[in-house]
Amino acid sequence: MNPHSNIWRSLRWDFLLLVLLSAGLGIYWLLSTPYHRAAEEKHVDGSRPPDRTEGDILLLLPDAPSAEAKEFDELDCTYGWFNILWQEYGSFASALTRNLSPEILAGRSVVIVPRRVAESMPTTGVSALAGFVRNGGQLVIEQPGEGWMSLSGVSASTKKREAKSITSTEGLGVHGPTRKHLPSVPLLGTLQMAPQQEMWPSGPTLVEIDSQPGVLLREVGQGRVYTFLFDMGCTSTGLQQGLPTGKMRFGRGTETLIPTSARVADEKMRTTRVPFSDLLERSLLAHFSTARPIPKLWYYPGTYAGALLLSHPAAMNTRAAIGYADWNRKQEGTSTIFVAPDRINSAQTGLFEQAEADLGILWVRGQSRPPITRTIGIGALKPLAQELSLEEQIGAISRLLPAERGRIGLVHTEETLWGNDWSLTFEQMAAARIKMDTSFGPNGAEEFGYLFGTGFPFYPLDERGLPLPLLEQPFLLHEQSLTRERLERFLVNSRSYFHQPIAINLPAHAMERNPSAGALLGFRDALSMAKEHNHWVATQREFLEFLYARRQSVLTSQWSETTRRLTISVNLLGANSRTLEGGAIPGVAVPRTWRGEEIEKVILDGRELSPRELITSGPSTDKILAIDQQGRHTISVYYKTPEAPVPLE
Amino acid sequence: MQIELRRKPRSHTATRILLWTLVLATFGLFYLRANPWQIDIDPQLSEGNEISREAQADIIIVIDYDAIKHQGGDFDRHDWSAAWINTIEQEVGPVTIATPRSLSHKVLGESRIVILTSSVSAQVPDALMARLREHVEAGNLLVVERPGGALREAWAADGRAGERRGQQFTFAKDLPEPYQTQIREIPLSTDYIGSTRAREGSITMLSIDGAPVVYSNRVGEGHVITVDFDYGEALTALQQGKPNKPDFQVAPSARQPSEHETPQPSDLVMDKKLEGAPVPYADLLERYMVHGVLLKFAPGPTLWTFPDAREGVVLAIHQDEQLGDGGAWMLDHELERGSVSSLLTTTDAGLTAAGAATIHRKGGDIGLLWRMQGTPSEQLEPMGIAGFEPLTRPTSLKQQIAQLKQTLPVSYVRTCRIAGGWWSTRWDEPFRQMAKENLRVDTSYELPRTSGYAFGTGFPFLALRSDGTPLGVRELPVVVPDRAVEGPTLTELLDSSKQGHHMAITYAMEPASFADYPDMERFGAWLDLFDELERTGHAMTSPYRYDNFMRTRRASNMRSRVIEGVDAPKPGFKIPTLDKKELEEQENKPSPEATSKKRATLLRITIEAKSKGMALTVPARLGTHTYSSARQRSQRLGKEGSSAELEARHVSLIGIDLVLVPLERGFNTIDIYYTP
Repeated sequence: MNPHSNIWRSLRWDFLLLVLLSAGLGIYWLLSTPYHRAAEEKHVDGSRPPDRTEGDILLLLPDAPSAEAKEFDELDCTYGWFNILWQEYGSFASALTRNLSPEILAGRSVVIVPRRVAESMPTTGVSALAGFVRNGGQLVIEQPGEGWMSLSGVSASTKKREAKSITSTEGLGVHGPTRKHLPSVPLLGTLQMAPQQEMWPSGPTLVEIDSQPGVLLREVGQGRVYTFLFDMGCTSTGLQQGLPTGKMRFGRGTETLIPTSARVADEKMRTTRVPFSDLLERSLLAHFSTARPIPKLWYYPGTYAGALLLSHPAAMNTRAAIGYADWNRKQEGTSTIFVAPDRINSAQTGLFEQAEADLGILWVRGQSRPPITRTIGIGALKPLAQELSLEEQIGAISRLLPAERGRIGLVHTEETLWGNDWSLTFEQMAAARIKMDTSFGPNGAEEFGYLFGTGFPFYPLDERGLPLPLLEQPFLLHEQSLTRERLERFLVNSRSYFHQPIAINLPAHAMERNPSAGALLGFRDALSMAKEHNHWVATQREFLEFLYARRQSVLTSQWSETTRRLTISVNLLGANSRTLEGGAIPGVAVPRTWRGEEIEKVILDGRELSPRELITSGPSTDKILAIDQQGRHTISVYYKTPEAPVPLE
Repeated sequence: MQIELRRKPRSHTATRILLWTLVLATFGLFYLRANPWQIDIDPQLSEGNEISREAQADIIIVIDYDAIKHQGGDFDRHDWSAAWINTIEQEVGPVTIATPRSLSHKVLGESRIVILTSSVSAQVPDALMARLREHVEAGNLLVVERPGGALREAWAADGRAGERRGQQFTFAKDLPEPYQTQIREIPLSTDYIGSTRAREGSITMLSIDGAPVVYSNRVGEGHVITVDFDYGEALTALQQGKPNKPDFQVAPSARQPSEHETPQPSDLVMDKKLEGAPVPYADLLERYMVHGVLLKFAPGPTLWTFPDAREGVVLAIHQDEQLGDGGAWMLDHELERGSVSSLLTTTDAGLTAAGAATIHRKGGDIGLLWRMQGTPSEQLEPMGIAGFEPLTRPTSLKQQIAQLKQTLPVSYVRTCRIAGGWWSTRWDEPFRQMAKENLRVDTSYELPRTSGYAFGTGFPFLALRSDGTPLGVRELPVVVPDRAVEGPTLTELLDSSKQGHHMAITYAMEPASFADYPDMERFGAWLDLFDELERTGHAMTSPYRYDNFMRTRRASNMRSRVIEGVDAPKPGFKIPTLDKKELEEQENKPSPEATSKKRATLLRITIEAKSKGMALTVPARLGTHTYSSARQRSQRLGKEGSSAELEARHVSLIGIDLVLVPLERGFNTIDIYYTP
């Protein structure tokens, strides 16, 4: 008899027990380390926002969306103009090109024809616009083709080259910081070549780019035609949303998630205190008011010079976030906490309520901290760990919140990590019904300021150039770059020149990962400094609702050159604000002077106002009127008549 | 066949046993790997340091270490004569320390004050007795602590009432309020020797329970001061605390969570009323003994306890177990405000060499936050072979220092603090371990969440071994711990210091506490501290730097002598820093012309200041004479003996008027003039 077979037979129960033990250990191991399955995110495409018919300024839009861009050069930046006008004027009209008619042009002050619209404009459209100009309208044409030559007067060739920077602003007549900083603005996209011409007013050139004509002005009939030979829409879009290096991706690495700061269009923007995008837009749009004063809805409620938005992402330490929020409340301010869904409980939501903080979601991507998962299986056997999508993460938090708080619409991504593509992350956020993201901003001790050319929120565009229904609110300072001195300089500059929302992103873990007295000092004094420099302290949600109200408000005006009277009709809407008793209602801004003459008097709803009730803007270009009631108002602004020259005897 | 069947199970039983033994062994090894077995190590302990020093100093302390060691017994019966060293070094600076064997006629002859501690005063040889008498009669001062034999017979009260346990001080001569009241509040742990009657002609300076315990007798031109209570025990119990169990054992108090069997420094506090005490009782006693008693009978200079003639200092420490390089974030702001601090970090906190170099370059210093073995915070290191590590053992202090040194740009670690706020069941064991590793300053003494002088002092004091021998380490108690909720505020302590206590106040703040919860009010209080420092004339420095200052101060040389009947110096320019009190006195004085012809008393001081920023103090009055001017004798002005008047200012130290004279680094000869 084989002795081995005897052993096997005699110890068969022992071996069976060993096998069972091993199986038990194997199951234990499986349960303790379940298989991880990545989240599946939905996404939506951009879409055309509803048209508005009322407004002094009309933006013409292409009749059909363009094809998906494979490179930045192929991107349709028409809605870059949408962002520009939304940011600068608040109230403006838009219409499809096929709807262009003399009726739709009637009463407009300015009509904008973006590059793609200009390319496809039928001759009837050109004729209608020519008539509009001859009757006193102002027309902006971006990179016009040959069909526009009769109107623009520019024999622009089809030859284009890459635009780099502004080399002369002599014709624009700008001064101070605008004149100083405009040559530093990085230009994106192409420059259409045109023959060299004299500077305004001797010739038509307002701005030279790379020593070539960049913006030209021609007076036609009673109106004017501005020809933008550079791609203003794409410059603004690229500065704000980022400039891809190729195939709509950023950087040379293959990472699927990158920090948002990797999207910056130009290296010098990593440490800039100047909002280049806004500076460029404002300096060019302000020229429209040299033909007639063009009013606008002020950027902020009343006469505030800017806004301060504090946020505290809490990836792990929710307790610290409560501490920050509580200090803000004690300072009669407010802030937004972006909290990870697995780091909050119902007791803490109560504490955030007490601290009067708004809640947003910190979108956990599982890179710098463990992902949020739910285990899947039967009974106690759950060998699969499914990562939660953004939608599910929002759901996890929403379950802890009282119903009246509504759905969470604010998001900040873990460590500002973003998909390495043009718009997929925005599309995923839009699919999760996010209203505002706050992830664009500096990263690391060496970065601060207007990395994305603006402190204002903007609508991100998808690859077809269509806007997504959410706003990106860039932040300027973060845990490593926040100091009291730096913040004060931003506030002073904002009050004096740039009128910006200044968003600060101070994570709850700031004093753990990058502790510094400077950051804590900056945070401690942020609210008092904001008040000192006339900045509105708001949460992202309040600012978002204010911007919605501003966009829904309507402002139109009529100008009589003979009486030098600007009559403004405005229907103002407001938003709720913890820090503003009567709500956040946008002010109305008008040019401070017209052709060198100051405002003589202002009549609001039949009541003459003291000139002191109008506040001068930082760069002294505008006068701002605060109106404390929502609804319809009529404002008449009279500019002084120049004294008649004394005749020579 | 049947036989085979019976054999089979027997042979396979061995296999079965082997199989299951292997299985169990495998499980056992896996279990040990997951839950390693902890083994203990024996701590390395110092045997103490019998300090003996021959300095150029006015004061000599005579101490017999052999007698101290042979005293034995529990805390109350021990001989704590070495406490005198701390008193004189802290309050005066340079001091000669001699043993009966090393005491020479030359050393004795050069001193102005001789202190015979209780370790030597019980029995003095006749030859020495005669020499001491001669020395005193020549105009010097002899201090005898609890004398016996010939010493008692010659100069002390009879002592026939025997030893009694003291309850409280009841009288301190010439000590003004509120310090008179404060000295009566001092908790006592001391015996005093009662006598049936006071010695004839003696002047009582200090009493316990109504009995004179410090009194003076005039002998020839000099004086003998008898200290008839156990000064060493009183001071050691206040400062170093007392073991709460026999044989120098410390047991955790009931207020701690039951799961921790490890004592805390709070278990050493001598008396409950010291918790949250706004008065540094030990320092008050020491200062009264030195300035109110010794220097009253032998007026002389002392080196001021603070650099740059400040009113006091705040010693800032930051302990960190988690931030690593970030642990120094407070240092940046402190440097902006002209201050500096110590970072005490564990070896596993994450401090990098680059981070340590940056801290060092900025002027901060780094000490060890010691994960002491036997405490819940102990640091364990795995032991094993080739990745299999079934054992752990505590990382010793020596290893932790070595690990920290690898990170530091310097080759020393001088300051430490025990992590977690723990102590040991042996009263002196942590100090002995620290002394063994040449650590100089420890900051473990602290009452969590309670500010105040729980250990009677804010100054670093010399730690003693349980046999009474000094150890080479000084304890710097934390006066204001992090997040204190009880006891006096830092502002109150600074005000009290400025007004007369003149203290070193150690202030602890944990940088990581803001990581957990950013308490902005606490942050604001920290920022305001720098304004408070300016307002009250205090400086903020690190324990390491302050210890260096005190070491240099002790290493300086200082001698003085009083010369009667010299010509008062011609009046010079008005001293600009005289305070209001002095100005009022000046107004009542006759005109300079009248005083210039008066005879003055001169206190001539020769001093070698071994670092810049030092200052000396002298009494504002010498008998019936008051301070007139301080002059630096110099040859630089062209001729021997010419002098330049020094700027000086009055300070009040526990209500005793002193004059503070800043010094230049190096040798100085300073004449202090006192006029009627």
